[in-house]
Order: sequence, then structure tokens, then C-alpha cells
Amino acid sequence: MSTFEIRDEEIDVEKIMEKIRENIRKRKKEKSYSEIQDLLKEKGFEPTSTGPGRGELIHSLHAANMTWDVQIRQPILSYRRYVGRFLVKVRRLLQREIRWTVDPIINRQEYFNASVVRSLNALVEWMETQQRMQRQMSEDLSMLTAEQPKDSSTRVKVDLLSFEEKFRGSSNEVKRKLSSYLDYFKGCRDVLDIGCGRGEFLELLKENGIGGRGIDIDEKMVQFCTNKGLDVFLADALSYLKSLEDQTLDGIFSAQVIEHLASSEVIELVELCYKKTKPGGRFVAETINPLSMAIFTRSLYLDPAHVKPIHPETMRFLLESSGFKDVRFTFSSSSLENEKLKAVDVGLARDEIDAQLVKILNENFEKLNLLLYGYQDYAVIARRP
Amino acid sequence: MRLSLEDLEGRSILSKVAFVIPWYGENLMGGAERLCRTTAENLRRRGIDVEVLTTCSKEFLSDWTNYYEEGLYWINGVPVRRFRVDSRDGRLFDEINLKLMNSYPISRKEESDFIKHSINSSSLCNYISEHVSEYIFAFIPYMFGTTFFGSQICPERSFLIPCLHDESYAYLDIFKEMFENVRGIVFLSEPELELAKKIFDLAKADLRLIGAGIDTEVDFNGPRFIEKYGLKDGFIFYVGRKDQTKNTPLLVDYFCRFSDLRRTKLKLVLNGPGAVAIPDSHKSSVIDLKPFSGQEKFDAYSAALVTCQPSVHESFSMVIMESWLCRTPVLVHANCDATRYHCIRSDGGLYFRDFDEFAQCLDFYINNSYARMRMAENGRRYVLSNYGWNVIIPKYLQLLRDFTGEGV
Repeated sequence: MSTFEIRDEEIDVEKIMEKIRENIRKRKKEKSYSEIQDLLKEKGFEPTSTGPGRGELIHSLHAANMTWDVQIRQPILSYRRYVGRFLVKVRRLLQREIRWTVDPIINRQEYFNASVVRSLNALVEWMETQQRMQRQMSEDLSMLTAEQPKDSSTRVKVDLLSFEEKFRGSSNEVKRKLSSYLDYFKGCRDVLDIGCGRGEFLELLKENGIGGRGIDIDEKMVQFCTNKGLDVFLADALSYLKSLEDQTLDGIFSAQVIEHLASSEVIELVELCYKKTKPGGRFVAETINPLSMAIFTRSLYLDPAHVKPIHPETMRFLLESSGFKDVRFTFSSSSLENEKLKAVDVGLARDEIDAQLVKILNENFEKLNLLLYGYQDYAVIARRP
Repeated sequence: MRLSLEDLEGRSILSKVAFVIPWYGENLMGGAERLCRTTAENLRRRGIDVEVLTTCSKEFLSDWTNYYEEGLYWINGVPVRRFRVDSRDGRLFDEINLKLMNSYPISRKEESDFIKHSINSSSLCNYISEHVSEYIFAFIPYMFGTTFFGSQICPERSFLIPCLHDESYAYLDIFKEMFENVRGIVFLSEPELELAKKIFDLAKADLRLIGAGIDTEVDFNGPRFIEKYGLKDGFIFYVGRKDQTKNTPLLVDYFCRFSDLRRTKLKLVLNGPGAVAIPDSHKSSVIDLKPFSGQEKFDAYSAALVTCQPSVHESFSMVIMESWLCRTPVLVHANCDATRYHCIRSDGGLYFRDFDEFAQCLDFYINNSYARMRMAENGRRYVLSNYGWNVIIPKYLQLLRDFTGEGV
């Protein structure tokens, strides 16, 4: 049985039906090879095996070839001593008398039998040819499959819950980090957390008397949050936002989400966020910071679902184009102190020239440190006027 | 329920509204009967003076004789006036009906006999004639005598809720005049409206695409249903009358073939009146449960892998709406314009033309639990935004205001 899966794309019933029909067309093409054999197997004939199924077929076919002829041309004889001759004469007479009525029936039956047996012989021969062809095709297919490069990236399926535990840190650490964003939502009654994950920010909102709900596209995450009593729905950001009335949300928050989206989706997301936020409402999005080169050796490629980082100035442009005002940034997660290039001790300078060189060197190190090991995340904050 | 400005505006409609329907009762399963009852009740709740004019006959699946006493009844807060049915030649009607069900052509005389010996009530018609100025009349559905004769008494104060679908009855000449003379027609879906435009000349009529209202606040518990009936291996759910016209035998046949081909433990659960033959070899996988209560029905929807609506004679289909409300996607017959239209518009269900498509659609649902959930969510959102009473009732109020506003 062949089927297909829909994972990340938007549900479009007509497209799914087209795929289903395409699948059926393909399967019908393959039918002569696979389903006829399934049928034969089901009936006890297995042409690919040399076992009892095939044996039975060959035996029956042989028997049919031997017995299709129903004409009985036995001589009329009798070994009875006195009445024998008389009996032979009577039987011959009877045979002659009934031949004109019985013979046409027998001839017709014989013709039918011969046709059936001939068809069966041809069918078995055809099957054997098909079987040879199929074997050849299977071999060709195996060779082609072996030659095909394995692309593992298209098959990545991540257990996001375990992934978060391992790489993003414990819930408490995440909560501590996210608590700095609470101030932007003070007094709000309905804050939407897009891609709420394990629900840390929603918990923070709840603990601080702020109303909030979350969405996530991962079933396990949604289940996890629901079990914690949080108001969380299984939905993707764009569809969910589209389904809301305009100007209904007090604020929108999202952490580590926009780097998972294609550029066109980020643009649409920002526009929708503007539409759905009430005047005065805040939009806060935390994401990886492409101003620090270390994200390329760390977070960016760590998560296989990342699409690309977004430059803070790009975010500013998009937000302002949509109508948001007061766009500003905060930078966080600079925990790479041990990696940084170390400054040279000025005390080692032997003269003024050395001291000057050390100073220049250290200034360069600082620049490099900022570029290489700067803040790993940034958050953009904007307000709907 | 909280009253809104819209509701209060409803009180300014001075005429009473009478829904005229052959059968009316609290537990009737038919689509038109349910639509009529719930619409009447919801309009009444919003301050519209609604009454129902119906016959003393019990239900569609009866012998159409007088079961109730004639008189005024109150059903869920709605006054219901029952009138005695006229005597009829049931045999002649059945003969003509059989021809129509099999799409044989019939003569003009047979058309006239068909409607004459359908369900009729002279006393109901007399009541309409005597009280014509007091009411605006809503006739539902199109094909019975009560609608045919009733709507001709005062077509300018009448609108039809035809529940029309593509079937031989729709093409009878006798209905042409009826559709073309009434003041308004309410449609439940766009394909129904398009079909009506195709068959009739509706240039004069006020056509309204309103849809059917549905109670959106449903409570359901799938695990409770699975536990009660031991259906741990998953099931396809069918609810509704089990008969040929609803395509139930086709569903059973397709499911049995699917079950054999895939060797799956999946079950088909049937629920509703009527009967369908189940092959002995599949008695354990096709489970015909005794008709159960409203709550259990919602639990069943919620527990199902998918709800299947194989009927090709639907003008709306409450079943698929209820399924979506309970967060289960649907599978419908591609030859039914209305149900296929809902699936495409909502992105909440798939449709099959033949067995191959039926099997592939089920494979899709089985192998794509994420897409299945999203489709269910799409469907749910579609019902909430199009068919909640908060959407439907304002449309009816507008219709009634337009009717009364022009000094009828």
C-alpha cells in the first residue's frame, strides 16, 4: 500500500484530493505487476515461488491439458459367451441412433474445453514473462535506489519536547530568562504567545495576573501545556491569527519562533500581528542574533527546523512598514565569556611603543569578541499606536 | 442567552412568522424537521413571534395518518398548531414515487397525482387562508403537499426553505410555478442556490443564502465512548437513517472491501434508524449500535477517526457540522455538491468518487494524524464562523424586516 504524508504545509483539501488521485493513477499503472500477483497469492497461486501454490497450478494445468478431449472412442466389445454378439450389435445400433443428437453437444463442449485450456496455457505463459520482467525491473530499481544519494535532511522528525529539554535548558532557566519581558504586558488581559512550547511564558503571565493563551504546532507541546492547565491550542501562527477578529489582542509575544519561518511568512506574520493587536498593544519577539557570528557555530544549525536568522534592522523595517511604532531592541544570552579572545596585559609592555601596540591589539580583540561572541539572542519590541 | 441589539430589533417585526412543515416534533431525525425546529426555537428566543403549522401525522417514516389530536401544542416554548391530514391514495402515490426514485419519466397527470396524494391537510390550508394577513409563512421542505398547496394561498407573504438537491423530484413541472411565484427562497448552501437557478427562472424571487443554524456549544468526551463500547482500534462513524437513499449500503460495501484489502482492525460504527445488510464475514468490524442519546452521539463523533457522510442527497448536512464541532474531520461523497462544497470551503474534509478514492482518503486520515487534527480544527472554525445562531439569526431577522418593511 502506498500513501503520502502532509506535514508542514497549509491544509488545502483540493490539493490533497489531487495528490490522492495522482496516487491512485500511479498505483493503477503498477497494478499489472503487484495487485495481480496479490490476487494470485490470495487464490493460492504464487507464481514467484516454487512452493505448493505454483505446484498446484502446474499440476492442474497439466491435468486440464490431458482431459480437455471428451470424445470417447472406445471399441464396442462383449465377452459374454452366447449373447455377446447380439449385445455388440444392439449397442452399435444404439450408438448410431443417438450420435446425431449427442455429437453436436459433445463437439461444442470439446471446443469450449479446448478454448479454456488454450487460454490457461497462454495466461500462465504470460504470467511467467511478466514475472521475469518484474524480476528484472526489481533488480534495476534496487540498482537505481543504491545509486541515489541519501538525503537525510528531508526526513528529519524531531521530538521537540525532548529537544527543548536538552538544548534550550530547563523550564526554570527559560522562565528566568523570559521574565524580563513581563513588563511589556503589565495589566493586559489577553496576550497571545505564538509558539508557546512548554508554556513557560504563559505560566509567568498567569503567576503575574496577566491573561494569556498560547498556540503551538507541536501536538506534544500542546498536550504538555494543556496538562498544566494552560489555555493552549494546536494551530499555526498565520492561520490562527487570520481566524481572529481585528484588534482583539492586548499583546503578542513569541520567543525563538521567527527564525523557523520563511521570509514571506515573517512578513505576513508581522502584518497580521499589527492587525490583530489593539491600539497600545505590544509586540515582542525574541530570536537568535545574527550580529554574533557564534550563532552559526551554535544555535542556528543546532535546531534542524531553523530556516534562517533575521537581522534586527530587517525586523525594524518590517514592523515600521506594518505600522508599529517605538521599535527597540534588547540583547541577551551572552554566556560565552570563556570563548572570548583574551586581552593582553598592559603591564607586560616594556616601553611606550609596546603599550601602544597592546592597546591597539586589545581594541581589536574587543571588536572581534563583539562580532564573534556577542549576544546570542535579541528581542524586538514594538507598539501599535 | 444574552440579548443583543439585534435581538431587540427582532421585536420590531410585527407579523407573526409561521413555519409550515408536514411533520414536527422534538425527536424527529430528518434534516428539514430539525432545521425547522431549531430555527423556530432560536427565533422565538430572540423575541420573534414564531408559530409552527403542521399536521397530526407522526413522522416521515410513518404511514402519514393522524397520530396526534388536532389542536395547539407547545414544544420547547414554540406554539405548534396541528391539523388533520386528508385521506389519500397511498398506493398510487407509492407507485409514482417508485418511478421517481428510479428516475423514470412520469406524465403530467402522474405529477398532479403525486402531489395530490402526498401529505396534505385542507384544514391547514383553510387556517392559512383565514389568517393570511397575520403571518409571514416559511414553507419547508419543497416537495410535499403542505408546501405545494400552502405556498400558493398567499405567495407574496411566503418564502420557501426548499432543502433542494439534485434529484428527480426537483425537475417536476408542478414545482416550477411554486418556486417562481413565492416572494423569497432561503438556501442552505451555494450549490443549492446554483441548482435552483439552473432548474427554475428565479428572476423575481428574493434569494437568500442563509445556511442552517447549529448549536455550537457542544460537550463531548471521546474516551468515554471508546471505553463504553470497547472501540480501542479506531472507527469510522456513520450517523443518520440507514437506507439506500442515504447510500449506507455503499458505505458498508466500501468499508468491507477496505477492511479486507488493508487487513485493518478499524471498525465502522453505524447509528440511526432504518436497516442495512451487513455481510456475515464482517459482523465483527461493522457495528450497528442501537440509536443513542444526543450526548453519546457527540462523544462518538469526538472518538471517531473520521465521520463519513456518503449520501449524495444533501442540501446542507448537519452531520458533518456536528462532527467538525466535535473536532473530527469528515469524508463525504464527491457527487453531493453541498457536502463537497463545505469540505472545500472549510478545508475540513475529503471526498470520494469511487472505492479507490474512498480507500486512499482513509489511508490519508490514518497516516496523517496532524493533518487530520488541523482539518478538524478548520471545520470547527468554519461552522463557528458561518453557522452559529449568532450568524444565522441576524440573517433571518433581516429577511423578515425586509418582508414586513415593504408593507405586505
